[in-house]
Amino acid sequence: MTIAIPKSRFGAQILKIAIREYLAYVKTVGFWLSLLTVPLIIILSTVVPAMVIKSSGPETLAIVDLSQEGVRSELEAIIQDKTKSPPLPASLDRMFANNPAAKQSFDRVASSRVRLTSLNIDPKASIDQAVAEAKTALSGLNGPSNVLIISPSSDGIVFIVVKSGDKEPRFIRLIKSQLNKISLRYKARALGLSQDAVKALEANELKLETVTLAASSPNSKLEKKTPSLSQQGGGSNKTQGLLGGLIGYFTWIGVFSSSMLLLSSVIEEKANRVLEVLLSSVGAETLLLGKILGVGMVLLTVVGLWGGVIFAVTNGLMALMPPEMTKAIMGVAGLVFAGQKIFLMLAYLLAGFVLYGLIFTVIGAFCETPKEAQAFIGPIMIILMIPMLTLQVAFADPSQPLIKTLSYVPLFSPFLMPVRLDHAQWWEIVITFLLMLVIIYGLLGLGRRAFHQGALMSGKISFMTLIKTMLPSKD
Amino acid sequence: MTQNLKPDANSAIELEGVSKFFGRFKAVDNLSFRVKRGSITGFLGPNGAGKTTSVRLMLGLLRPTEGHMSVLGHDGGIMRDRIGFLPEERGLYRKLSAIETIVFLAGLKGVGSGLAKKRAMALLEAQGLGKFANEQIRNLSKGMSQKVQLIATLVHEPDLLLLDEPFSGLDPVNQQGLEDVIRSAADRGATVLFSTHVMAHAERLCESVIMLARGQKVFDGTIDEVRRRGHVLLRLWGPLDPSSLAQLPFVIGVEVLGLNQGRDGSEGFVLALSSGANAANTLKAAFSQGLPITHCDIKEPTLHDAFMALTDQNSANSITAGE
Repeated sequence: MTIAIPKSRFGAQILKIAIREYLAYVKTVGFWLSLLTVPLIIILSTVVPAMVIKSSGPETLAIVDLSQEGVRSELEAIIQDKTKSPPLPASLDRMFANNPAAKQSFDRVASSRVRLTSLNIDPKASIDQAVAEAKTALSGLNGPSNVLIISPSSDGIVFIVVKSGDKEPRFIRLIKSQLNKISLRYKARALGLSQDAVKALEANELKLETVTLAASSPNSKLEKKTPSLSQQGGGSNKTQGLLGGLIGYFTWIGVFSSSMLLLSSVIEEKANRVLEVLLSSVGAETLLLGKILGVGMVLLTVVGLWGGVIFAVTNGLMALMPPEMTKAIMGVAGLVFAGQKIFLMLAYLLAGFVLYGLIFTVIGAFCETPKEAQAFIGPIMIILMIPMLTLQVAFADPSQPLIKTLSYVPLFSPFLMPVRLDHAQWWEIVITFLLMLVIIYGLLGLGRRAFHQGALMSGKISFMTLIKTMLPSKD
Repeated sequence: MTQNLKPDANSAIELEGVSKFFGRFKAVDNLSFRVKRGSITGFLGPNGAGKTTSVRLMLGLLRPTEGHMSVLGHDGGIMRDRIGFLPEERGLYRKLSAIETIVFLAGLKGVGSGLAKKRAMALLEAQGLGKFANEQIRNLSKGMSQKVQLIATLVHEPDLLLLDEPFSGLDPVNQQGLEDVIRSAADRGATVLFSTHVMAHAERLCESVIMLARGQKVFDGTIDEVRRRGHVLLRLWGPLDPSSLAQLPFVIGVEVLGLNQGRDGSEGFVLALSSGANAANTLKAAFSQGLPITHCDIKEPTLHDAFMALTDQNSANSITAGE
């Protein structure tokens, strides 16, 4: 028997079911409370510590150069460069355009956390004299909080830090490598090396070559790679792997939690006997698609809101953060939001949701309580745990053959492909999407039949009954 | 396999040789009947007779294993938008308000939001629920939410109403109200098919009834016709011998009422006569045989008696129920 429903109504019915489903969640206070928890944690864990650091006030530093060779100006230039505030976001720029007082106040808060000052000490003074005078200046009302004394010695150069507190002054982190270079320069001179030799030593870079056996080569020839400097340090590659892994985890959590929403929604409708009423008005496929679209919209709301908060944190609030934190965040954001990557990640998330959502919806149609559903969810959870466990391996090396192979499996692609996006070829992305679409199409066909029959069944259903209802029959 | 059926313009529902199997279990067995357009038809049968399965078949929720059917003139197809369905087990979204529920379900049937709201408010007012329109279903009483579901069944002004046990759970006042709703739907030209266990509703509302037992049709006809299928009960008092009574024409069962059951303390007996029997002929035969009858009366069969007889319940129950 066929159901005669005008094709133009099919989409409208799906949309009506989706909107009801969507509103059923977003109209509840609990949804917004749980939704805002994660962004709140993000804000608390990033902005608040930054604000606390800010509130401790800027550090003042006076550099006393007893070498008289311009080391002070060299170090001051580096400090000024590293503590320079990033350009203002457009939104703040517009806000301050007609309000110079606010801009001044903002500049004071957002300005460098290491402020340079000067201390009047005789350049010909001895180290002891300089230290004594620095101590006196530190204890004074308007004196600096730290003094760096640079003094040449018989075998090189000495840096003495006179500080007022117990903590290590922030400026040391900013100029540590430069201090090393200056020290090296003085040591070389003491050893009688030429200026050119010193410059060559300063410019030295570690060259690390790796040799791997090319697997694809029939003659097993050796393949030599010279990684770039950033790769040698492992920073970029590792960060990308970590970020991909994090996105994979977020995808997993998003897919799992939204599929569970679908499951509980269908269970509730079955227990309340609403499913039969709905199926008397619309087809099983319409109902199935409407519910998935509705919860999909909920998922997109969550992603959108969290994305918005992250954007606000990285864009608007970044000016309130220390410059080095700002640079780190910009670096991370650049990696995540590069090119089409963000759209691909979103596409994998949605494909994963539709795939697992279909399975969970069908299960829900056979159950009247969450307890009944547990028996069916068990095997699905085992499947879901595989990408979760392999994500840990993917963190370390996204290009591992195991990760690559598993990422082609449609049930795992949504979680493992985001980890591999930086290494995957375009055709791998196309293939994984095609495979997922094929599985989704198949599941939709099987799920429609099972969903329809499950909705009308009552009593406890076995796993075998569920499987049987999915298979075609002459009934 | 279902086959094509040439629809009859006068019939809203036509089933021909329809069977439905669940595995080896035959829930509906070779069912054939027609429901006249614009009529109110009772769909009667004991629990497990196959009424709900038949209604689900008519709705297209289930596919027949065998036979063919036509609903609202659509051979092998169901026009869901033109059908109003009230399921046996009522179900509504608990967190939606009464008006939201009705408008949502009407929307699925293709009724625009504005028109649905207008009709819903009118129907809610008519059912005395106007002030509860914006109340969530979970805050309404069982009777109120049943009314909301009934309104959702009617709001799109369907051509066919399929009501599965519509009177269950309603108090007598609301039962009367529902009877009025069914009558007004029929007056509007809609065809109504409803299943029930309460024969009184069928007797008051229906022009015809279809009776099922163990998945098979046992009767299909008018109320008068079905009554004639019940057993006429002949009650006799006097010093009578039950074996002699059993020999009388048309008698299919005899039950002793016992002493003091009858008038003047004599022993009483109830004689169940076969369907369509004339009690006067049995009585005439008893007198001609010289049986010492002191008192007698005849009880014509009710729909309930016919129902019990046709659905093959045991006769003793039938006689007791007939009392």
